[in-house]
Amino acid sequence: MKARKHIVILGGGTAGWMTAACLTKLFSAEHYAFKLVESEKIGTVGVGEATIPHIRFFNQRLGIDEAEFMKAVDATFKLGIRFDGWGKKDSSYMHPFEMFGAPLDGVPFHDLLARYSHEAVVASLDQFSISARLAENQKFKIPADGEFGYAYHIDASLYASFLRKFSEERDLTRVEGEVKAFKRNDETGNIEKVRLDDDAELDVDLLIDCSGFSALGIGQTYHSEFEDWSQWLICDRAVAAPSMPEHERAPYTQSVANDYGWRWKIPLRNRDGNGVVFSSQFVEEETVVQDLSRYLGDKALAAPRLLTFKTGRRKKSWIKNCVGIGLSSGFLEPLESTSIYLIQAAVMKLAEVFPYFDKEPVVQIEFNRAMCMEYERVRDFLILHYHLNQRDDSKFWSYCREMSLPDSLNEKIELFRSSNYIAGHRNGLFLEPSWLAVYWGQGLRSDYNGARASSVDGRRLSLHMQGLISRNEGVAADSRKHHEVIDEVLGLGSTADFVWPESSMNLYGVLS
Amino acid sequence: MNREQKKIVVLADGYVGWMIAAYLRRAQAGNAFKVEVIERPGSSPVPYATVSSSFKYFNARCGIDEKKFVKAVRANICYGVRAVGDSVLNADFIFAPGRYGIDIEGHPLWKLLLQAIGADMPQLEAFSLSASLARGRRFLLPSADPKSIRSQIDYGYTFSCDRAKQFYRHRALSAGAIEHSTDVVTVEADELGLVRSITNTSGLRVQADFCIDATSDGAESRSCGKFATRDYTDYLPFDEVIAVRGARPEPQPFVEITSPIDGVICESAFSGSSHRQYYFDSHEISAEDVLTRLQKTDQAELCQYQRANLKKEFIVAPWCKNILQLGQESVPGFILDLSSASLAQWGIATFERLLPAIERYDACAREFNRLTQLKIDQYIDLASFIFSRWTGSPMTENMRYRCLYFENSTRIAEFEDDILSNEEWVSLFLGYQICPQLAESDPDRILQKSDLSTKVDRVQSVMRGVTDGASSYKSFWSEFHGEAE
Repeated sequence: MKARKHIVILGGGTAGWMTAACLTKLFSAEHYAFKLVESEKIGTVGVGEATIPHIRFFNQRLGIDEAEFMKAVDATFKLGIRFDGWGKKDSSYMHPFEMFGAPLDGVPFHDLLARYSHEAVVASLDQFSISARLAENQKFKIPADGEFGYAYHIDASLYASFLRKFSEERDLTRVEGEVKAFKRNDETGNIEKVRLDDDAELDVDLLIDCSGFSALGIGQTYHSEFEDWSQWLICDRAVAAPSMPEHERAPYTQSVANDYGWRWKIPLRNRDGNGVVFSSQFVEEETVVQDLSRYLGDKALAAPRLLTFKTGRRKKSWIKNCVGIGLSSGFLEPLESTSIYLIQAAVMKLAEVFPYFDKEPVVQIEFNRAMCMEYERVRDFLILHYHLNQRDDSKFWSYCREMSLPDSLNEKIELFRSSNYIAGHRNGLFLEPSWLAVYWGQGLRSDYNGARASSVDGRRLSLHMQGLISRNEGVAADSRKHHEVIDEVLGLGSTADFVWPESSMNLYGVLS
Repeated sequence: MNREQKKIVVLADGYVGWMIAAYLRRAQAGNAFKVEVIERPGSSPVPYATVSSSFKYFNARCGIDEKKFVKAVRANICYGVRAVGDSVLNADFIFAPGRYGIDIEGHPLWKLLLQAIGADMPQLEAFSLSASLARGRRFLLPSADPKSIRSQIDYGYTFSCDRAKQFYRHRALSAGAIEHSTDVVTVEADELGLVRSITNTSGLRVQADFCIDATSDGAESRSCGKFATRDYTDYLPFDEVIAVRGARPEPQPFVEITSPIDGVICESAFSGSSHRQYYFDSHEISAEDVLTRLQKTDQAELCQYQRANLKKEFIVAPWCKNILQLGQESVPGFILDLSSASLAQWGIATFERLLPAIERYDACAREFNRLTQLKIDQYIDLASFIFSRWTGSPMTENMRYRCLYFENSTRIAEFEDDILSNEEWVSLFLGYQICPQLAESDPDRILQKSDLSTKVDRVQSVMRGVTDGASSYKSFWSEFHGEAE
């Protein structure tokens, strides 16, 4: 038998265990010896508790049963994110995982909407979304035929434990310890050995750096340059605390804008995750902690915990034989629940090239290129949420409205305003429906009168749009409460045969 | 819609201009824009177009019934491009758009075939329904049901540009476009760089809010603005093309490319004729020698020919102020998607999306030009790959990267809005004999060889079941179009 290659994963947070689970599932122990080094002394950040639909694809790829997963990680369903106070102080909208209405005669929904809204009063985009209607009524249904996508709210540390068990059943050795030093090859520059605090040494062919913000390999050893995006995404702190759950479990993540940032609420089955993301330029930490404590009152289950971060990404996530996954390679705030997605994207890209990791630098270049693309796709979309506001009640929001934007984003906004144009891509995370949701939700409507939809007969258009609204109302009325669906699928209440829908790498539930 | 009517003037000398007018009139049927076409005499250097499957979607958006289109332009179905080997390549494979077979236990078929390279296994081509129809000279249309295996069939067309011009002209005029026939036109920009009107020698003056120059050389409007170009000389070895038409009774549902010693011949047969284009480098061989050679091979068949220079410099910023140059760029590359028609169709669909904002022309131009640059670069990447396989000319850096990545990882590098699907890339790579080794530890290496061939056989028999039932292409042609031209 040929010598096995030594794969060392550094760190046992969400990133470490997602990597471990994926690699041990897909690759044989005949060829690779997998080790994961973690220390019980080091905590995990673990705020990424809201997910997006792609996680279902990841789990299905690993062969994980959806109900088993939901039980293990204390999950509830998630239909999207509700944004309160964004745009205006009293506004509220959903960003659902949904395409909204279907095209008519080949005219896309947002062009139909542009015309329809010039001819009829359209109060909000939410009425065209099944998920938004369900969410309003605290209801949920498993989508049929890719009508919309759904994700979960999960306890990320339980997810890590779940994946740890999964990986350990598949020939992964967990090593308790802290890294003391790396031994590098003078010629190649590769890391050859990892020395631990008990002086044990591990052989390394590939080091996967999931050590979080400390970035022991990709940052401290290889000094990969960090591209700072905090001039556009100015929040740099978060305070988080769990609380007792509400009686009704909301099937959505809630994001409430306040005077200096925003507060999240993530409903799990046994608790609510809460937290405030803010900018230290605009508020004292102490004020935020007090505000959050006051808001939670006697429902708080623990004292608020402070996290500091810097928004941006490393220009290279993979250098020599060290690849950074998760916080070691970049950080984007949790506004659109992308943290676990970005880990997943990196893990899947690594898995794609894994059998060839030591062949050619081209494999590393491709990984770095793909990850840069992922981060940049998310970046402009996040900035849009902050920038697009009419709030004059705080310095924070005025700053965000006035700040200079990346050219790419300025152009996008301008083209939407004047022509209802939303750049479409074959790939990419946030596509037309997401941009439309935020534009409309935060008060930007196109000046354009919708002549692109003028080939559609006016009466048909009106029937089509009215039909969507009443269909969505009907679906919401006929569906059950979110908690009832959870009880059912977990077999806690009545049992039923359950067919889980297919998953795909798509935000809107569209099947490939 | 109480907006003052704006006027878009299209300069045309071939079918592209009329295609644009037909599309705009249909897509903007609410009369927000007037469309006027100024046509000057002109001729296409190549008497037929080879176009991709995007044509079907484009026509649908124009409200055109596909069957009527095929009938009216006497379109020839084109399921793929057959490359037949020569001294450089010892190949005979058909590149076809669309899907290649069915995944086996979640593994893409082509990965399994990589595992079996060298063994007695069918080529990837055998799993493309389109390629099989082409090779078997059969006819079958795709199914609209995505669950049916027949939905994998994809095709483009070849047809005569003159017929297409008549067809789209009729469509455009009946949808309300206005026509001006003229000889020479003058396009002049004012001090702000904006075109306000277009005139001819006899004094006809047509007011314009926006001007689309869709003539084959774009000469009239070229001097009115700054249209950035990029030089791709290094990747395009040929500078001249001679197009000939000869007799050939049997229609073929594919385009065939072959390579004599100093050029590449691209051939399509329909309507009782063979349409050939001989691409060559005039520094290596003279046009006279090419003609002599063609005469030798075609004997008396040579009844018409046309000559044209091939561009090596392309406009990558075709939108300036209120002028758009559209339909001039055509990257020769001998595969279905490489033609002026696809680029023009893509361009007009993108323009139409930006149309409501054309008064803010700078923002529109930046977005349009950004997308155009990406598109042309990708076409050049692809062309450079194909030329390099035929002639040994260099590949673009991006294309070298794509090849290197495939060779070293058996994967396809991901690019934004790629012009080919991953499976289509793989079929090109394998067809042109870039065959990477599947690593021992690759999880796609799942099956024992004997097991693998059983499963692959099963897939192949499913595909055969579909194509064997198809009728012959010749009988389709004579039933649908009739024998004579």
